[in-house]
Amino acid sequence: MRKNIFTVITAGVIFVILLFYLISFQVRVNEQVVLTTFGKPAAVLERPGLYWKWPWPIQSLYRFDSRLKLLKSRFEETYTKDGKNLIVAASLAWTVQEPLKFLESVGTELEAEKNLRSVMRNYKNAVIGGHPLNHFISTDPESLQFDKIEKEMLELVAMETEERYGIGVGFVRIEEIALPEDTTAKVFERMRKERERIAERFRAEGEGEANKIRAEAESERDRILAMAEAEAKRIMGEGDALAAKHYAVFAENEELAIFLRKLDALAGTLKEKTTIVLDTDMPPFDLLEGMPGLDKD
Amino acid sequence: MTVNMNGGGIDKNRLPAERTMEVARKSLSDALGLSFNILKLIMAVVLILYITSGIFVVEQHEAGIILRFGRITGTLLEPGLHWAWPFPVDEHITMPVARVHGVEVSFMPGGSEKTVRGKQKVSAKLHPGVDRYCLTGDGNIVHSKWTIRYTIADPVAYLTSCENPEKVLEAIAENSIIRGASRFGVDEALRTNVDEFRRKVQAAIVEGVAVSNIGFLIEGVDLEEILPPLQVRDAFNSVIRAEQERSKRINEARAYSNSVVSRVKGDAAKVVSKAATYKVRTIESAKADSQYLSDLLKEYPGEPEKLNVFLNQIYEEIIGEVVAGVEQRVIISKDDEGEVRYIIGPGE
Repeated sequence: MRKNIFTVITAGVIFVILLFYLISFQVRVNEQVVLTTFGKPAAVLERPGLYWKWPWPIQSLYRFDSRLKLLKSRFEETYTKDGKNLIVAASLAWTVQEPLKFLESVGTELEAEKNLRSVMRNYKNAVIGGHPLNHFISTDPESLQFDKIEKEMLELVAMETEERYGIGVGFVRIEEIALPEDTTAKVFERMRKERERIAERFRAEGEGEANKIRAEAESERDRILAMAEAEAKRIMGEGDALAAKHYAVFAENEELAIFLRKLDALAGTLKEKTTIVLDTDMPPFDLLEGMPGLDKD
Repeated sequence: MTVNMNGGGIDKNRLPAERTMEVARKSLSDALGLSFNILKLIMAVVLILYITSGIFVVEQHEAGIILRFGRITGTLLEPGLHWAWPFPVDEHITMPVARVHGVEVSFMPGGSEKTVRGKQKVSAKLHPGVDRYCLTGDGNIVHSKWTIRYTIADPVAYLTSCENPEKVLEAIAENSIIRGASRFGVDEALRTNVDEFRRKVQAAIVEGVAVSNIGFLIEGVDLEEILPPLQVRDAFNSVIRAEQERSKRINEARAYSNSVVSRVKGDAAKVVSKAATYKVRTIESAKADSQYLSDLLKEYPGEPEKLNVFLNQIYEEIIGEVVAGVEQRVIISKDDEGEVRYIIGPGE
């Protein structure tokens, strides 16, 4: 009998648990739930917690993630307003905003993504077509308009998806801007030319700068030398002037002074290793002609 | 619980068939009793396992959250041992909040650079969707590779905001990088203003993460690599070479300039010092000359008739000295018949 009681209790517990499963459900923190009675929507539960329901097949549940989901657009060529061919990839974050509408119009996430993709493509291309290239790339930050472009895409996409599918859009972000294949080859050609030009400019700059430095150095050299020579001249002049003072004494007997200087100069000219040719008229070599006072004849 | 195998206590007078039946019934009931007991044991173990399944550890680098019937209850759990009601009442989630995670964002070529039999083959074009790159503000192409380091700063936001917060972070990073690249010229992005580029990207990522409220804190944004496309890398290298050549030429000119100037300074000093020597010498010789003259003048005879003798005396003295000093002397005596040469000296 004791065995039986244990068995009954166990069976009871299992029954209660099963029943509990049938008539209750949880809404997790990142979920929202649509409850339907015989297929008709009965309630939308967005707050997390424990709820009661009639067991299947009376009431059934549809769970939707309430978090943002990311959808990446495909690569597609589009034209900008000024006719440039661009490939823009963007990602879109979406979420089920109105679960009821979502359930009625698309039902599943897969279906929702399919719809979103086509809506996104239409508006992405339309928005890009409304902006010139320099809103996407420009060395002038003023002309860049990523915020505006993304906002335009978001608003257009959101307007349609909210109304038709109950899908809210968290953000649209451009993830990649590329060029068509053939254009990249042209860009490379241009980049190469530009590099060559820059290299040429560097070479010319080097040459010019070097020449300038050399010329400056040479003119500096000339200047220093000229200054030194002027200084030397001044010093020598000073010497001459001071020497002249000493020569004042020469003025006392000019004739003698001149004579002495001539002799001095002569002595200076006739250094060693010279040959001098003298006339016997010159004393003291006049002695070679004969004794003075003696008549030759 | 053992099965009685020796059949003890069975009446030997009963019919064999009846006996057999009884044995079978007995062993069946024994077997049932055994299975039931095993079942009970299993159930007890399952029950214990079920209750203890609520015990969990929050590691040192983690934070925990308990969801009760799907709703967040209580505060964040500190590292340590915790207990929650078992499924389906409670659910516990742990997140590595103290760990720095990294996500790599690459704008590198995917298909255009192939190594074919050891040789690098470069296609002339980049294929969209395969080769990733950024366009710079001046319409050029650059490749780059980034690492975004982040921590989970707000576990609740991390849990509830996005299905895949890491993917969202990646999207934000890619968006920030193309935005950053689109405002710089190719030279700025590659060489002259790389850090500003990186900082702009980092600021954009930080802002994007804050706006999206995905619960991340950006620890840093690293620009791992930035380089021109392989297709034009030679041209970029030649620019670098030209730049090096430029500085080499300028340095050479500077060296030349320095040597010229220092050399001329030496020359200038020599010129000046020569002049100074001249000055001293001139003054000294003037002094000596004037001294000599003064001495002569002391001896100088006042009367004019004696002057010639006096001068002759000096003259001959000096000429004598001079002539003695020269190597060869030729003295010519001329008359009507011809000339006589006296050659004094070492001769030819």
